[in-house]
Amino acid sequence: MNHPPLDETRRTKPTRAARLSFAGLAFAVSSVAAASNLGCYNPNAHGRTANGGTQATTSSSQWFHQSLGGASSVDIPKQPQTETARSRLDNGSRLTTINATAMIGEMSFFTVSHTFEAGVGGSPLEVLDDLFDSFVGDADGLEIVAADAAWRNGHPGSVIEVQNHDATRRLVVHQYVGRSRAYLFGYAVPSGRSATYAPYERHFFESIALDPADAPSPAGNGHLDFSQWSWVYPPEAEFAAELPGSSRREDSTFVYGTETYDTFTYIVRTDDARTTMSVRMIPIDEDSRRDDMLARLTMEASQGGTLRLTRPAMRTGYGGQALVIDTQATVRYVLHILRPDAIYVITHEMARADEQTMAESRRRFFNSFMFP
Amino acid sequence: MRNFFYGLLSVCLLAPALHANAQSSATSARLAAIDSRVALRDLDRACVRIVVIGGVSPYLYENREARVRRLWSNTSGGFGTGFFVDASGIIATAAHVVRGANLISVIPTGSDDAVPGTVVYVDPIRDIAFLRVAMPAPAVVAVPSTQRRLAVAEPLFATGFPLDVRERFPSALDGVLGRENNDGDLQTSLAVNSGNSGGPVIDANGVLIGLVSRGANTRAGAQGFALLEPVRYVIPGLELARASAAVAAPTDIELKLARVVADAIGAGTDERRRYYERTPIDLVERVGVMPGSPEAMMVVAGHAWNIHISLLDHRGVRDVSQLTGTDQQTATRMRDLALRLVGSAMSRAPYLERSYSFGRVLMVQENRSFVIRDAGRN
Repeated sequence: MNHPPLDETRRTKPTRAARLSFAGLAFAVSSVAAASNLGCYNPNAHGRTANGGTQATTSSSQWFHQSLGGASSVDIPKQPQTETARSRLDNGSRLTTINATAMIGEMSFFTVSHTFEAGVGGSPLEVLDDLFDSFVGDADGLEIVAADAAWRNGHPGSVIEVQNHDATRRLVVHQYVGRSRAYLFGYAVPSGRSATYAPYERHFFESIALDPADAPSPAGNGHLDFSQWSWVYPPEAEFAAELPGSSRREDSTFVYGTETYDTFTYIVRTDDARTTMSVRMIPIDEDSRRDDMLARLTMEASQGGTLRLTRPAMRTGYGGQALVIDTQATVRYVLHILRPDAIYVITHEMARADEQTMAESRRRFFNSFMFP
Repeated sequence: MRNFFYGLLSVCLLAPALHANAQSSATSARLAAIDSRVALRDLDRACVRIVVIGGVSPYLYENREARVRRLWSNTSGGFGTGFFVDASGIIATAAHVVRGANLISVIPTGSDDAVPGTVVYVDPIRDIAFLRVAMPAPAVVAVPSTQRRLAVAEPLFATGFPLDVRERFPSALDGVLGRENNDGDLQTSLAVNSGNSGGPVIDANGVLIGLVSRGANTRAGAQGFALLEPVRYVIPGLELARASAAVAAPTDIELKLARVVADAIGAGTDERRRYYERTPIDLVERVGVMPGSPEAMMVVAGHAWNIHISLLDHRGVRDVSQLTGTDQQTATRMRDLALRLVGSAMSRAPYLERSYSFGRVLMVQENRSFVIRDAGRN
């Protein structure tokens, strides 16, 4: 075998806090699987079946809105049994877990949300990776029917569908990870009844709303360091770029006409602020006048300086323009890339004296920007 | 780390040979073409199939006969039409055909061979893009210097590669000009289909009127018309594309990679051929030694993985160890190549873990039995 084993491909291992969360979630998966196999076979065990006139309904107004901490929530077709547990991790920080379970006829709904006072303690994608591994390990005895990556409100996640070996029960699990929370959403139903209950499944999973404030964006210190390049690929902004140093997200607004757009900027800068490198995403409406907005952004970028150069530019099949602006003390390189739903502003501003010496770093930064 | 070094060693040992090969083939690509028994116009000869790949996603594939379920990797690519607008190798197409594309292959009319395409200009507002390829244009559609005044109901003629990407020759269609929409699009009665995007539309005198942008949205209840990007928006873009630098002639590896991209999507193949027969194994391995960008690594990995799965599936077995002889060697080589490339690509470009979810799932697949179902039970 000439391929690296799994452990060698991992860049870092998650922290203790994150590992605890995996154990908790893995247990939850077992619980869902056990419940789906043992508790719900008899359609009369928990009331009438849904298609026979159960209390559950697909009408949005009658579903129970279950809070999961912060601004996160999910709809469950009847009031679930909930349980909140609080504990302390090894590092002294608090872990709060909310479990919610509802069984309606042949259907089971299950949610778990962990809130880590000190954060999940690792890269969300790595935490998710371990969650995925935990699930695969924990699903021994079940057949994994499908698995795929997923994204929800800026949170990376995975969707896994399993069934037992005699193919009588089907379980669908969504897992998501944020900065300080990890979630599991489970739904189980007899395999042959999936189509009958499809509206419930759809409503349940579509109603998942995760706190955008907890989305795992870059949370570095914003310090520029040319010896420490790292990839930034924030889930809410859908781009990848290589930035020198520890990038930080800063929020601002962009006013255009009567509209005010919330924008995200991923930035590194030197302590004296002489040099900055940043990627700003401005979400826009699909029917916005993009040509006008581009003109407006050109004006904004040229503020306080003289436009030295403008030329067409593109990244990963999207068009835009590149600008170079001279101000009294600095030179500003700007790239505007337009997508139907957003405009990306990639900027490198530096002292005039540094323009040549930073040429290679600038090329590396600008060339790395893409939509993966 | 031993395995990582093995990968590096392979690259180091083979690189000089590849370099020599690249030098010897560093001329414009000349591709084999097959004659059509139906006479073609210059308009048809100027057309190309454009095949793009932007990511690879996993999905489950089930062979009910063998009662096995396997992880498959599905190329989330697409295809469209383009046409030469300059003898130097500039091709016009719709911008949405190449949006998000990491790899682009261009297949001329009548050929099964592909060359890599490079986007040189994308209009930020209109649905227009230009590519460059390093091959002589079989024919060119002239772009007029100005757009004449059009007339409602005047006849229009189009061509392109609709629906089936395996078809070597473009399919002609006609219609009339309906109107000019508020946003500048031309609405026509051309019955375009998926794959026609980016194709040329001419008037009764053979003069370019525009390119196909999109068809009717049947899900919204619309039918029987197509929207064009008028030539007046194509003209300034072509000037900028002409100002772009010519692309270097493709190396041998780049030509092979273009072939892999086309094969992964299904272009350039015969429908009677099974997946594992689409691309010679040696060719995939050759590309796999040095595919270039991390994205290229992932695409080659996906294709190699699919070849391995396809072989298992066709033989009705669950694991490589159940194969024999050449089959076992082939499946093992393709599986190992896929895993090595995924590992290397992810270490070079960690964002791929998100965009090519196939990679993460494949890693799980390697060390744990992802296919849990017993072949003897259903």
